Amino acid sequence: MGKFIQILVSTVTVGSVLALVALGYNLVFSTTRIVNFAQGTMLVIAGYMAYAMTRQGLPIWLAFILTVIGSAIIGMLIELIAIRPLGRFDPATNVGWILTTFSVGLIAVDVIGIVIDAQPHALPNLAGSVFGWKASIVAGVPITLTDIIIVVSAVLLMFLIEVLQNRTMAGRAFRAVAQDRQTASLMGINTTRTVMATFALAGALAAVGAVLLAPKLFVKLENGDLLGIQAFIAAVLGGLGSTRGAVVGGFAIALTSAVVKTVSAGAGRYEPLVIFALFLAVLVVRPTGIFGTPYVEKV
Amino acid sequence: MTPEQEALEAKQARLDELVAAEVTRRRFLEWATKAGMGGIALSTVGGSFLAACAKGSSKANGGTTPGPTGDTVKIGVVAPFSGVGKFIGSVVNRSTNAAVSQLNATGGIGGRKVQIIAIDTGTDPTNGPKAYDSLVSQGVVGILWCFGSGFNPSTLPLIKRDGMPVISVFNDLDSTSKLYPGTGDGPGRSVFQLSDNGEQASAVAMEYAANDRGYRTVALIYDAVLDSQGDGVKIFKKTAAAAGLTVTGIETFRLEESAYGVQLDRLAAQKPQCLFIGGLSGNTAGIVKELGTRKASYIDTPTAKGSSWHPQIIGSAGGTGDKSWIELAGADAKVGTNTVWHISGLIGNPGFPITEWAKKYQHETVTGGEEVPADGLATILEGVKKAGSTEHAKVVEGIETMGKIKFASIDFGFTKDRHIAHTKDDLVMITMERGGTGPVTTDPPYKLGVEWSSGHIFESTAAGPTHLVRPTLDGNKRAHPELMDEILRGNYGTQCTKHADGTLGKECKIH
Amino acid sequence: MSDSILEVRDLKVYYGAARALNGISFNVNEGEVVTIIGGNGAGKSTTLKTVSGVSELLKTVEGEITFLGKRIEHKAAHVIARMGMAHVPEGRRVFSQSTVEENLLLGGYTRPDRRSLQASIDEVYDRFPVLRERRNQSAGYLSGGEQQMLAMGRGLMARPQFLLLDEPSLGLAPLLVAEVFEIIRTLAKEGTTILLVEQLANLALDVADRAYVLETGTIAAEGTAADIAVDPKVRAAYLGA
Repeated sequence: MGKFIQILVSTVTVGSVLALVALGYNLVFSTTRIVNFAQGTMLVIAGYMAYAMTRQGLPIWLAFILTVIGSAIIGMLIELIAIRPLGRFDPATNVGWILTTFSVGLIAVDVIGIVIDAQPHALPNLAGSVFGWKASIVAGVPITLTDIIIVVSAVLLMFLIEVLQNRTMAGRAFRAVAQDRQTASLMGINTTRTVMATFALAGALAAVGAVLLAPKLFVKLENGDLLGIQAFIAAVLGGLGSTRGAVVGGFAIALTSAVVKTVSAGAGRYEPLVIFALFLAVLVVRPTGIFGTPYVEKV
Repeated sequence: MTPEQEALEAKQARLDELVAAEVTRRRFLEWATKAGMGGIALSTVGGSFLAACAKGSSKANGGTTPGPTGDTVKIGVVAPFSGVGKFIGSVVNRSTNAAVSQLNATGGIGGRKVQIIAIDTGTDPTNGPKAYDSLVSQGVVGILWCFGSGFNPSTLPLIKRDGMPVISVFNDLDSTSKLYPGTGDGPGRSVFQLSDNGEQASAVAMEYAANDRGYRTVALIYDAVLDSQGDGVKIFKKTAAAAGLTVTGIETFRLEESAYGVQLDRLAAQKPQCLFIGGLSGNTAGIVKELGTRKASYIDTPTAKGSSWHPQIIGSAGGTGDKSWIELAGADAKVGTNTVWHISGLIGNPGFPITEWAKKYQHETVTGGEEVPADGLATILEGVKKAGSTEHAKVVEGIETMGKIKFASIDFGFTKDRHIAHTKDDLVMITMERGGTGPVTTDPPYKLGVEWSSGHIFESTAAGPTHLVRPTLDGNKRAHPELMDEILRGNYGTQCTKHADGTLGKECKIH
Repeated sequence: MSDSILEVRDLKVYYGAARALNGISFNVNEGEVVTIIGGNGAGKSTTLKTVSGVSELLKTVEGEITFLGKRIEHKAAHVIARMGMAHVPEGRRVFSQSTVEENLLLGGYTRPDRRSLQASIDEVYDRFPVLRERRNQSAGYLSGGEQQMLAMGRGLMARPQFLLLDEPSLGLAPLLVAEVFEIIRTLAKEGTTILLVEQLANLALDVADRAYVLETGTIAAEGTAADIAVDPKVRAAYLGA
């Protein structure tokens, strides 16, 4: 029973975390058809931004809001630096963006290491307790407020993004730009601004993720690489561009890793092996991921 | 080639560079932690050195001390002066600059000035052979290899070939057998190691757990990414067995992880009385927090042995030696988490000469760790002095017959059959403490050393290591009677009394 | 020329070093249907794309384009679209992964009165009943003819003052071509100002008031559609007579 609960808690919390980060990849991919490899870095930047603000004595909620705004601006800057100079291009054939997003990410992490510092830091919790409740122990497994906040926020954000993409004009415009940028501009959509807006949104999402994750993962330089890669796998596994896919992909990876670890003490070493095997198996069967839509050829 | 192609090529080249840097950063991390696994190196680096970065003003000048070049004794210094290991480089700079200033101000070496030739290996291990060749071509008499990248299988044969005197500083070669006259396939006779050996460190920690705490069971949780070969596990098992401790569980986690519940569940089932953690500070803090939410935090010795699970965290590896995990873990970090340390790195003893030199010549404050490169420098110069020559083989012989010398910190020395400066007696246990508000309230009250009181070393820092005097006192006294007298007189370190009947003073009950 | 909705003067377009338009001038007046006919590669689509501001790789534009009294030759497509120009591009270019209804909603993107979009969608459905049946389908699954209807419907959703139609007959079966031109004729009757580019010159001249003949980037002839239709040179070159 305890084992089952432990797997469940681990899957739901880690899965939500991965899904949140995967959503960032999705957002940008769905409008630009590019994978922003600086997504993990945005998480790191946002974390250090929040840390720098709390160090200055700002309360965490204010630092959180400012970080969301600041990180949105960082997102736009990344677009401006890594994507815009490439000019108009077809992401499928011109792969310069792979280099530029990677580079910007790597440079940014090094800059943080030099300008702020390279040490991990803790952030204050967004909420210490709700109605005096902080944590419960179920069948020997602790469930904390942080866990609940992560899961609830992740689900809420995914719901909001799904609504934004499918139910609002802005969301439709996002998808139109993704499909055919020229024609989207003929509809009166400012495509440049739309692309920037998705980067801003991805940045804001990274900030939410960074602050939510801080109690569990802290703010540290490695988060970008490590979490970024796992979340990227989650996004691809679920189907790049699909919000539901990000959630399912994130949870699939979290479940796999929790189960692998539960098998035996030594099995933890084989975790990446199992995850990558799963990843490959899914992609062989469904090359577009679990929820990915096959690209409809233009007639 | 069109300008577009050229631009693309340039971009590609830059990316290659960045990817290379990234890959080696990981490798550096892996290598660094491996060096520290089950041992001291990363504790030293992680703890006092990270603290060093936070506090120290860096006035690094790249390490090359200007001076007369005609009649000088040149000594090479290899360290990461840039990149992720830069914090090490800045300590090295502070140390060697202060030491060289002191040496040259007091007549140099036999009337010749000492000159440092510093080479930055950054984070790239492949820089090792390049750095080595460059130093050889500049005619150095010996090299201080300070936790620099490149002290690896591609550089070691070169060192062996030339018989170049090399003092390994902060590097934990992980095995005495690799040092002369060990039987390993190590670098050969000309390499000497100043810092400590992983197995020694783990043995001290195990002895502390078994003898001082009276624990019978022990478990390990370590990072399977950083110690992918399981070297730390081997040392852990061997030293636990030697101390008569039963290993109840060995678990792994991965660097990128945030959830340790499954593993801790399994460990909890066996209720080991102490838990060794091997990993970086973020993961260490994560594990300690997870213990906190499971209400399994360590409180004191009796509870660690009680029926519910409250393991005492005893550090062997980097995670527990790095004070930053305490800040990260917040209230879940409990007083009583211990790590093995080397005595010369002891809380940056204000009495060490290097402290004064740094202040006098560099107008800088030492932050712990500076004594080691300076002592390495002195070792090579002592070898030269002894040999009356700068010929490599003779310098090596000189070092082997130097006896004990005292330069920047405590007295130390090498012999022909002992190429490592420290013995088990040179190791101390340190306890990680909470700063600001001081230690947690315990019953009976726990007394901290004077380093925590107003105006002393750790007053301003959030957390820092305190020397736990008693567990290793006898051994330390054997190795360094004067230093231990001074420490006890100065009221440094936690003070415990051992009564005639063998019982401990009240204050010793905690920890 | 105050009744000109569109006034193009000495328009030159280059793709890199290659010149696609050699300095053409033409105008479209309010309520008029003007057609540009010409062979493959004459520069017809380039003309429309330049007018509507679609930016393309390596394209440079010289000359003057005045739309509703404002110079637009260096304005972005979305700005021009907001001024009231709707361009139904060659090859339909529907958003294939969005539904039919979403495509139509996007057509009305520039309209400030978003509440009345549903009413406009209903009007489009009345005009193109087949779209109503397929409103929730992905546009990518429509037939070529249906996609053309969707593209035109999408263009109309903006309630444009000026409609650009680029090769509406391209790739359609003859029966569908007739249907599409019937719709164009209806739009014309309703007073929509249209600039039509079409390879099927006889059909184009049939619905148009005036016509320009474009040959390798230069206007070779111009006049009323009726005059052009009887011009022997045009007949020989484009009307297969």
